[in-house]
Amino acid sequence: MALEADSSNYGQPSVRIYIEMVSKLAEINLAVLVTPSSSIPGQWVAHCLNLNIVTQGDSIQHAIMMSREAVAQVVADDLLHGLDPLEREPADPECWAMVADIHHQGLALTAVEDPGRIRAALASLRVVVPTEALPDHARPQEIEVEMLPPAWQLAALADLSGSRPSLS
Amino acid sequence: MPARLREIRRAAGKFDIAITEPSSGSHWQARKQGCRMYPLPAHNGLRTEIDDKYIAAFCKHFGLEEDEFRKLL
Repeated sequence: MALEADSSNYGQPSVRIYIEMVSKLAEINLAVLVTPSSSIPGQWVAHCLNLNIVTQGDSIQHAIMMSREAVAQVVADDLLHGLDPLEREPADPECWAMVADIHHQGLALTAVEDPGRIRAALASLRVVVPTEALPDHARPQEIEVEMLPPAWQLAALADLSGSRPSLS
Repeated sequence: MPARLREIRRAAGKFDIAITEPSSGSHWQARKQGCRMYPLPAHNGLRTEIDDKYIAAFCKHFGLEEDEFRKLL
């Protein structure tokens, strides 16, 4: 697998990648943008921007958990086929612009008492993968994918003053 | 318009995309020769209603014309 120790994955400075040479593990932080479904009431859509993987769930936290599972499947499958998951085409620039806006203006998700005010949420996943080829028996559950602490999850509110992410 | 997973599975088959149920987890897997795997949310099985944004991402991943795909749903 050809992971590069590059602090600007696909030109996105919010993604940090570093390789621990001693343990032969790579740790990758992935951005997950969660927005309410525009077509299914009550559903939330989670978009892992680095891998361009979309999934959905019944709540923000469920959508993040679903993204975690989808990412584990994708990373494991790519590695089993000798492919670098980070070579998947990332999300469009406007999605990354939303991430930048949420970083700039967002509140801690845990501090939002009324979920109905949330227009978008941002979570991070930490993926730890071996830098060498996986054995044949490797399965998604052997790929370590962690949700970073909820306190690090951010929310953009619908009634936030000033410029805010365009979700239309 | 959202679609059920069973409709997406049927339409994907017309484009030689195979969608299979894994032994565990809440995502099924879509595969096509020469493409990387793409997971499908399936927390309610084949009845799962799939969001428009997902359908767009699915079509983009497999290089499908979204309008053409939607006609088959």
